[in-house]
Amino acid sequence: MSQLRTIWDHRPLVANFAQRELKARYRRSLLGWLWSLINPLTTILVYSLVFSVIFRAEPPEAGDGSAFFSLYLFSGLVVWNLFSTMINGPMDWLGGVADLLRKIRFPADAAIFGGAVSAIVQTLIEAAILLAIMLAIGNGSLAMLAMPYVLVCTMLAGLGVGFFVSIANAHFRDVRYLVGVVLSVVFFLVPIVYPPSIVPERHWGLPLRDLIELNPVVQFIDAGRDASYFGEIHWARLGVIGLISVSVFFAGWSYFVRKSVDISEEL
Amino acid sequence: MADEQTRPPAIVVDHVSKRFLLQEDRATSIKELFISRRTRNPDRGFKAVRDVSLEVPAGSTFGLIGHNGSGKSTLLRLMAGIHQPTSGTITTSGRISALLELGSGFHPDLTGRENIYLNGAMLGIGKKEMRGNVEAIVEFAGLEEFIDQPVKVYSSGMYVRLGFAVSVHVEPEILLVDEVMAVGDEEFQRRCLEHMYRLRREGVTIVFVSHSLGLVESMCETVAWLDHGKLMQVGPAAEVCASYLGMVNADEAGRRSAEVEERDAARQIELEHERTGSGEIRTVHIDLIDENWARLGHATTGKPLTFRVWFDSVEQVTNPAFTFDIFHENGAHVTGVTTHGRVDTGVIDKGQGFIDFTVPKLSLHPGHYRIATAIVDGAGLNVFDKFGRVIPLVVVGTDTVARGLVELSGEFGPLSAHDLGF
Repeated sequence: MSQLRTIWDHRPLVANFAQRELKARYRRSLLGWLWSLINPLTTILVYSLVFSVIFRAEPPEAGDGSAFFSLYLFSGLVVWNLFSTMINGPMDWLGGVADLLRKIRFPADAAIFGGAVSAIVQTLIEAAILLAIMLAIGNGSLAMLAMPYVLVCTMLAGLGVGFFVSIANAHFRDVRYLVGVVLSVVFFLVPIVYPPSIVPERHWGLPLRDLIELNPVVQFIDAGRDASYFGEIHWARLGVIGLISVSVFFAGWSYFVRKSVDISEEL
Repeated sequence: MADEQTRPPAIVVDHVSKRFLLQEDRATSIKELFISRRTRNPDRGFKAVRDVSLEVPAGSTFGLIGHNGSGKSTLLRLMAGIHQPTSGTITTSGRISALLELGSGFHPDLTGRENIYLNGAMLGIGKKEMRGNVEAIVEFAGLEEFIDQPVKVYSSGMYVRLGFAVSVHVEPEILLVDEVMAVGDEEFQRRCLEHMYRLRREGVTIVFVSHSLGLVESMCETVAWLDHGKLMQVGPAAEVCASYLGMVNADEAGRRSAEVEERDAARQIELEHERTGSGEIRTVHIDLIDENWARLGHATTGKPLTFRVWFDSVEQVTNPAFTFDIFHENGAHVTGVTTHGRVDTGVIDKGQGFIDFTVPKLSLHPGHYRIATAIVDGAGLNVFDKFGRVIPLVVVGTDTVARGLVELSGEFGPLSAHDLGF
């Protein structure tokens, strides 16, 4: 695993890239980092309004018996946003260092890891808001301790896919658009904006609800919800996402390291 | 140093070729990928480096020479690991710092200081470790005032100064330098060279691309000469530089003699407006002739040369003085000769003729010169013809340490040392 060693030796570079992304994010904006709080808070408020007042959707009951659809939704979104950022991000992060790669030798994955570190900051803020609200309404539980683990797994799985995607995108610019389409389809195939209970058991002669459950992404979303919303721990599920994420991550990373040596000619 | 001998080579280039895909060879959409797969030509693309093998000994200074597009820079980039060879292998041992082109490795939006840290980080040097170097780098580059400005506002000179300062201050074991120092001013170039000499003394391996053969010959022990991606010769600096120059001169001769013939006529008409004087007799052209009476396209330093001044007289003139002056292309008036007071030209009848002026050893150094001619009457009162600096004179040479415009012929005496202790 020489790639582990290489990236470990280039910690300063990863830190440098991460810092750069973070500094650039709210550069020249007056509120700066407040936007990182404002965005998720607005999302929760708007969802509350739309789903509790207008649609009157009935979410599954949370751990303490309360049922706020906005929180049910947000708990799924935190994990999903992280996942989709880790898939989309590497294309931009790699593109952002294209000029540097043409002129100086450094491991290209350092740029991806730097970007990932900067992106996870946003997720941590969102997760902290979610958990803080849960604690505030008295829905706190020990299961919340599993949240960091779920986020790390989600990040690794997303990055694994992101590594593949960024190499493919360097060769064929169609990939970026393809990924956008696929992600928006997957978003609605996963019970994020709807509870799985409203999916018909059978439709068109297919066991629809079971099919949806087969999607591995669902396991990540559900694991996040277990920890934050339901306050439950399903060890088997945590084990499954751990296995999936580690294998996807290393497969993607190794592929990237192999293919990225000459990537500057394609970017 | 005994261990110099036992250190493994810093860089081993083993049968390396590099092919770049050209834009039209590339499939850029999925559709193209599937359609053109079978019809693709395996030899497509541009072969920048062809089967090159060489070794750069540790602690040596190694020069890469060749004309533009010969693959020197590509080879340097391959050594730096920016490109991967299409075939063959490159093995390097030691921390490589590369200064490849203007502002290499700088991010335009970051400040100079941030870029210093970024460059350090790329070599695996942490912020803390780098902090100690920053002041030295800023001072070396002379950028105290601008170091906290984004580098996109820097001038090209500032870019290069910062680039060089960073690349030599990260304690490289191998330093790769492309021809970039030419951008800085005299003073900075001198400091760069001093610094490179210092690194050389410290045992840093330096690989150096330059068009300045004098510099290459004085800096490098070993030189490799590339031509169209092929390695022509590798060996001691003086030897390789001389053969390279030999080829350049031969090329120049071939190109110029063909050109000269065809351009002469055209130029004559075009440049007539450079001519003044009463016009009874005119200079037509000056031929350069070697000792075997062959017409030359260019002259060679240190070789015999005859200037044959052709004239065309429309009236009889008596004892005119022929003069020609040689100017360097930068405007310096190098020298001039006149028949006045040396030769009696007598009565010249209507018609054409020439007068030769022979130098046994041309003392002009390699460069581009222009010749101005004049014909005046014996008393120096009337100018028959004055032809401005239009006739070109190209001088080439084999001496790579030519200083100034002309050779000062002379010999050094034996060195005599004075010991003040006596």
